[in-house]
Amino acid sequence: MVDAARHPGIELMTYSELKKVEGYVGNFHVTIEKKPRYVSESCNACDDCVEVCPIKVPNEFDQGLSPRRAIYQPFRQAVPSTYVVDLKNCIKCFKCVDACSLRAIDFSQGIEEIELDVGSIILATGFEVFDPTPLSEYGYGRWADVITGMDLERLLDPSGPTQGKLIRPSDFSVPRRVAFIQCAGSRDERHLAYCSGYCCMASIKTALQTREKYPDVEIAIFYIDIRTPHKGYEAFFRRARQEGITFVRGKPSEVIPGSEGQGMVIYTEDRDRAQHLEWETDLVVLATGAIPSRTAHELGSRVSVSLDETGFFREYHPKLRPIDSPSEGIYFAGAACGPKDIPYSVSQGSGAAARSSRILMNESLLIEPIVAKVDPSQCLNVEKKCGVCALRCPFGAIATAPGEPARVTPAKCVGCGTCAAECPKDCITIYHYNDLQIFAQIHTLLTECPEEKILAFMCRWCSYPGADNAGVNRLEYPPSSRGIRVMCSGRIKRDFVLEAFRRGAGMVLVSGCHSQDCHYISAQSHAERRLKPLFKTLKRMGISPERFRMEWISAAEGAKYAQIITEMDQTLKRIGQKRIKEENAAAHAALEKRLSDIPYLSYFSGETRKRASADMG
Amino acid sequence: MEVLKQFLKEQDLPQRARACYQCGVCAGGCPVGRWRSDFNPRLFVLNILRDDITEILDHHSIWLCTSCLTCLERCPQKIEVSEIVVQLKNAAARNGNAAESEVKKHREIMKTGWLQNPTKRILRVRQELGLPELPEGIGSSELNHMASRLDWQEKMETLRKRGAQMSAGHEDHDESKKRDSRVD
Repeated sequence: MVDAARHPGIELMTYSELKKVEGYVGNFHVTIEKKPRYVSESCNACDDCVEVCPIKVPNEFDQGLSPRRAIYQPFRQAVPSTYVVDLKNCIKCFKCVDACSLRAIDFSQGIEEIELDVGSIILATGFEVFDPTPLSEYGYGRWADVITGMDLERLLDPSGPTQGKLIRPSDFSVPRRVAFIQCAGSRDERHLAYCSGYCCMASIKTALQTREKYPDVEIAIFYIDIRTPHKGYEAFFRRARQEGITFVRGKPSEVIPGSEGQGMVIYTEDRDRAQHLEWETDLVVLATGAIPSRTAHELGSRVSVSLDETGFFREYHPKLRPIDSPSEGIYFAGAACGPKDIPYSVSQGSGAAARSSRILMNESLLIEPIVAKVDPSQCLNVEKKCGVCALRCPFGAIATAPGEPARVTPAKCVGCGTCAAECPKDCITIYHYNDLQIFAQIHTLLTECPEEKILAFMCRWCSYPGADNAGVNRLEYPPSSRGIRVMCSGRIKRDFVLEAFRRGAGMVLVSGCHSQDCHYISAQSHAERRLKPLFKTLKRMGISPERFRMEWISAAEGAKYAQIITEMDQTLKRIGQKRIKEENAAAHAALEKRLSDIPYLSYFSGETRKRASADMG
Repeated sequence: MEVLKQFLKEQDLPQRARACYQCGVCAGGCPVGRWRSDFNPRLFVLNILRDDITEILDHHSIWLCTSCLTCLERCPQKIEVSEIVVQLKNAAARNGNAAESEVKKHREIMKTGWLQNPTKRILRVRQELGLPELPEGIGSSELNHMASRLDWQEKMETLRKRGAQMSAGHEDHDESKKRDSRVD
């Protein structure tokens, strides 16, 4: 932190909050609220003010184990070292003002707003530690000798509340036995469904630290699984075992005070021996899991980055783009998008800095030409409140101010086409994948014997490569399928499917990535929601619903693609051409009516085409 | 045994147990397991997952479960351990392995309408308190009427018989289909 503060290229703004973000990659305009410290930067951290302050409140940095004053320094190495007045607890006796020989204390300070133009934003909100009070079986908060790993960390710190002396809170004596309980809150469907990742190593480290300071203390670690995935971790685990730390496989069920108030008893199962175990100890340490920073939600809504189901920020793609947010130019460092330990946080921070410099070092940024464009003269939002496109866009690339047509920021748009598929007025064009092009493909592919064909819509990332994979692996499937590639299944309109049936298609397949693999965050789920009602619609029109299928196929699932096409071909044969033709004829009027408001479809009608070919010929 | 496995599958038991990662919280907190090392809910779940229930069904320890639901409450994967034990009891009963005490309990209910007869101590305390004497049961005619309408006696008989058949290694699949599965 000191290094960062001294770096000429870095300006630290502590005690400040990001209030507003406008613009897009390379051109962000941010508003920052700098909160008043009531102490100017001339403060030399002499501690005179602290000595006269009459207020004592729990010190947050020491987990509330020691007191601090209303004017204080968060911790000794804090950057900047300037003190701060905690106005919530201050009684404004102004003794500190009198005590300060530098006249650095200034209660007239107010909130300062700073506006900046920046090229990229890195979110590094970190994680917070889970409060284990809801784990009532472990009795944190009820029994004094049940503490968290973070509490123990402070107790062992030479500059901590006890100057590094390990005590148990009930009687301040040095405990003879210490037990760690792993996964306190983590890997628990009732609390945190995920593995917090850092706690195994943190507990082993603290256990070894305790062992070094107090060689006679008996230490046990109760665990479900010990996870040591990174470099050197397994060796560290081995060292802990060699140092004589007891590892008991079994998640403790309950912690209760010992008989006659002596120590604590842990009820657990020793899984290796399949035996019930009552383990006596003096101090119980809960290895609490990591939870998202409490500011994440609010900050996320300000920079339009969504949270995932665990409450951490959602990255663009968990495997391929773990540092990027869905919005270009906004990146994550450290535990912002999931619990991480120190080496992983450091490498992600460096990665985020590199991703940012990629933008900052260039005069201009090349983006993909596949982007959305709104026809302002058609947009419904001018007359009444619509905003469907903005609501569905997974990337926050569309703004719909009331009374104005929707506006796409091309630098944010990735061209998935969800907006175009959702627009009630069909007034959004996706360059290179516009409606006209897709309708043209539908028509061309269904020119001859359409009732014998399976028209397959495939997304560019998963299903199309999946079909390709079937070919590369020389898998056989019937030759009746015809594919249309779109960027994402989110691009597929209901009208595309209906038009295919109007043109007499035998079967229609819509395929895309699996929901969790969608390359456009949530676009696949929008497609699923949008196209599901088609089964009913088709049935009402007299078309067998089995002639329409939605399947999610990944790029590696060539065999699945081949199988689906084979199955569909069998269905096609079973229904028979005669019945397909009958169904199509019966549904024709309804389909015509449904598709009548698409003006350019007439371009493909027989007469226009004949005329066009006559003109050419 | 295949029939019983099928029965457990019908209750969707293996599926409901599948998320278990064998942390042992159920066994650690089990008040029965504290005293009886052969009662281990974790191992019951494990055996169901491994599709190997022969031993547990013969084992009388499953009948020790008091349904205190501690395991259910503390399971980090929200597995209904206690429900699994209940279904195991059902399966064991179909196998003719119901615990003696359970059978006795059933008989007692049909006879007196009471789940448990008052013990000597209770009678003595009542006397000391000057409470009126208890009748010989609260009358089970209605229960018996219901039971006769449901062919209860016959079903109990069949169960007992099938238990004997099963232990002899003759399983009658057709018969099992006809029988109501919830009589135990």
